Amino acid sequence: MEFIGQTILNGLMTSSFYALIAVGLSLVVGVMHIVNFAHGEFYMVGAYTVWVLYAKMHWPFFLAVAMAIVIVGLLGLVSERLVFRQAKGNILSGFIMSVGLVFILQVAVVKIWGLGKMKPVPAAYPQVLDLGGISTSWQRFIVVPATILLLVALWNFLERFKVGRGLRAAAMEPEAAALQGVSVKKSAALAMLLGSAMAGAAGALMAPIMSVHPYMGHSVVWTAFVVVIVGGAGNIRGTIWASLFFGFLTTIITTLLDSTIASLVTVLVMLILLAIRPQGMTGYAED
Amino acid sequence: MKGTCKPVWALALIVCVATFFAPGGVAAQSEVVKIGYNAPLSGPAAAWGLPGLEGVGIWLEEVNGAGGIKAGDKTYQVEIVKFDNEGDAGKALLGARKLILEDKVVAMLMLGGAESAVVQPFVTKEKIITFVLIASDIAKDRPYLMDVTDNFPVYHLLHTEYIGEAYPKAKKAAILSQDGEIGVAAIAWSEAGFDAAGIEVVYSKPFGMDTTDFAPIVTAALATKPDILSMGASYPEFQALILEQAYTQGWKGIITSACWDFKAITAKVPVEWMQGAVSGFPDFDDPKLSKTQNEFYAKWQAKYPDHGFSEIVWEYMGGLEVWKFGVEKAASIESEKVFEALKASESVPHAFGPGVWWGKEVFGVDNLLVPNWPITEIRSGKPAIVAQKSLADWLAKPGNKDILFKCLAKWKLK
Repeated sequence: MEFIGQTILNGLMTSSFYALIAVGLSLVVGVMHIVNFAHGEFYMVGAYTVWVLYAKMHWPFFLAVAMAIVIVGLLGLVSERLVFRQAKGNILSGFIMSVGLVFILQVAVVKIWGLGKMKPVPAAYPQVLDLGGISTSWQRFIVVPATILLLVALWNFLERFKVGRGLRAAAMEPEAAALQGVSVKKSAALAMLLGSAMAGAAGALMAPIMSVHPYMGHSVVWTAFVVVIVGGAGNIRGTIWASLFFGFLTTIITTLLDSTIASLVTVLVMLILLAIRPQGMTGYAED
Repeated sequence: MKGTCKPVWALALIVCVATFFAPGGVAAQSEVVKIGYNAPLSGPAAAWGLPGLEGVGIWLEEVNGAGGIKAGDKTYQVEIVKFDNEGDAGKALLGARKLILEDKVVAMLMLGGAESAVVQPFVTKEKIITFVLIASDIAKDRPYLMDVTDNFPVYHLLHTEYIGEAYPKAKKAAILSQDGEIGVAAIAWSEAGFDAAGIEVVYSKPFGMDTTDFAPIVTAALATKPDILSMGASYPEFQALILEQAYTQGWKGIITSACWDFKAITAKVPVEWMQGAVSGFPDFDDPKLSKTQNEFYAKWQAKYPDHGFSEIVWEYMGGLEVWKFGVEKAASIESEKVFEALKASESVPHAFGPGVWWGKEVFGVDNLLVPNWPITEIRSGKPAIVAQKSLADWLAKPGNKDILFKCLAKWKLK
C-alpha cells in the first residue's frame, strides 16, 4: 500500500510540474501559432533567477520565485515584440526563430555564469512531509498547491476578464475574434507574457528539486510539447488533463521499468492518440 | 632617415644573438613539456573533472616553482593543456586529436568510461600514455591506458566487505547506479562484493542518464526494503538528488558510494542523516594520511576556502605525480619510455601508500596501480578513515574470485 501511495504522490507532483510548464506553452502555441522551442529556455531562466536571487543572494525563496515570474514574463514579452511578431503567424518562420532564441538564451547564460558544475539550489523547505506512511519534502510538495493556485488565477483571468475572454477567443477562433474587435497583436503579446511567466514559475519552483544548468530546458520542452499536442493547443482544460495523464504514465513506467522507456512510451502514446484524434484529446484550437 | 635606421637594426640583431647564446638565456632555459587534461569541465559529469584542475594547479606551482621536472640531463617546465570534453565520447576523441596532434602532449589525463572506448584506438596508435580514473577501462588492446590513482570500481569489493564486517545485521542492499560503462561496472563489482559479504542485492537496475526526476526510481528501490543503499557510480549531481529522495521518502540505513560530492549532498539532506556513510576517500587532512597529503590539503583549503573537497581534487594530480616518477626513472619524457619505466617498477608511490601493478586476471593487463585502500565513514560531517583493506587479501579468500567472475559475466564485463 505504501508503495502505491508513494507512487500516486510522485505522480501527482510530476503532473503538477507538467501542467505548470505545458499550460503556458499551450497558450503561446494556441494564440500565436508559434512552435516556441524557447519555452524550455524560459523555464531555465526562471530556475537561474532563483539560483541567483535565492541561493546566491539569499533572498526569501518565494520572493525569488515571484521575481522569476516577472523577469521571465517580461523576457517573453520582449521576445514576442522583437522576434516572434516578425513571423506573423508563419509556423516555420516562428519555429526557426524560436530555435535561434534557444541558442541565444543558452549562450547568454553560459557567458554570464559559465558552464562548469550544475548550480546547487538548496531546499528552502527541506522538512519531510509525512502523509501517513508516505512522505516527501515540503519543497517538492509545494509545487502542487503553487500549480493549483497559478492555474486557478489563470483560469479566472481567462474566464472573468474581457481581455482574458478575448485571449481564449483568439485561441479558439482567431478570425471570429478579430471580427469581434479582439486585437491579434495584443492577444499574442498577452499570451506570450502569461505563457512565459508560467514557464518562469515552473523553473523557479523546480530549481531546488532538479539540476540547474544552461541546457535543462531541452528535455522539459519535449515533454511540454507532447502534453500540449495531446491536450490541444490553446485548450487549457485539455492541457491540464493531458498533464495528469502523462504525469502519472511517466511516473508509473519509471517506477516499474525505466525513465528511458517512460520517454519512449510517452511519445508512442502521443502518436497513437494523435492518429485517433488529430485535434487533441479534448481539444479545439489547432486543427 | 635611412642612415639612422641601419645602426638601430644592427644593434637589435646583436642584442638578439647575444641573448640567445648568453648563459641563462633562451637556450639554457627549461623546455616545456605538455600534458593533456581531457576531462568533463561542464555538464553533469563536471564534478568528476573540474575539481581536478585545483589539485593540478597546486602541483604545477610546486613542481615548476622548484625548477621543473628532471628527465636525464634536461629540465622541463610542465604545462597543462585543458580540453572540456563535457563527458561526451565524441568530444573526448576530438580533444585527444587536438591535444596530441596540435599541442604535442606527451601524456593525457582523462576521466575514462565511455570516452575510453572511442579515444583509445587513436591514443594507442599514437602511443601516448593515458591516465584514467576508471580501472575497468583497462584492456589488453589499450596498452598505454593506466589507472594509477582511483581504483574504481575494484574498491567496491572492499567497501562491501567492510560493511559486512562492521554491520552484520545489514542483509539487503539496493544499488542505485546510472546506466553506461561506469555505472554498470559499479553495479557488477558491488554485487560481487555484497555477494561475497553475504548480503543479498535486492535492487540493481541501472537508471537512464536522462533521468531528471528520481522520486519514482527511489520509490521502486525502497519498496525492496533495503538495509543498505549503494550509489554504485552515479554523477555527483544525481547522487544528491537520489539521496534527497531517499531521505524525504523516510528511508534510514547504511549508505555507500564510490565517492561523494559531500557539499552538494548536504545541501539537500541533513549532515546527521549521512552519519556512518561508507566510502573510500578521506579528506586529505585526515590524521591517518601522510604529512604530504595533510600539507596539500592545507594549501588547497587556503586557495579554495569555499570549495568542498572531493577525491577528484587530488586524483588527476596523482596521475601527474606518477607520470613524474616515471619520467625521472626513464630519464626521458618520451611516452613509451615513461610507460616502460613505470611498468618496470615493482612498487610505485600512491597517495595511500606504495602501489603494485594488478589487473591481468580481470582486464588482461596489469595496468592498475593498487595500494591498500582506506575505508571511510562519515563522522561529524566528514569522512574519516576507519579501516584499511587489501585487494590481494579479498581475492585470496576462498570463493571470492568465482563470485567476482560470475558477476562480471552477468553484466557482460568479462
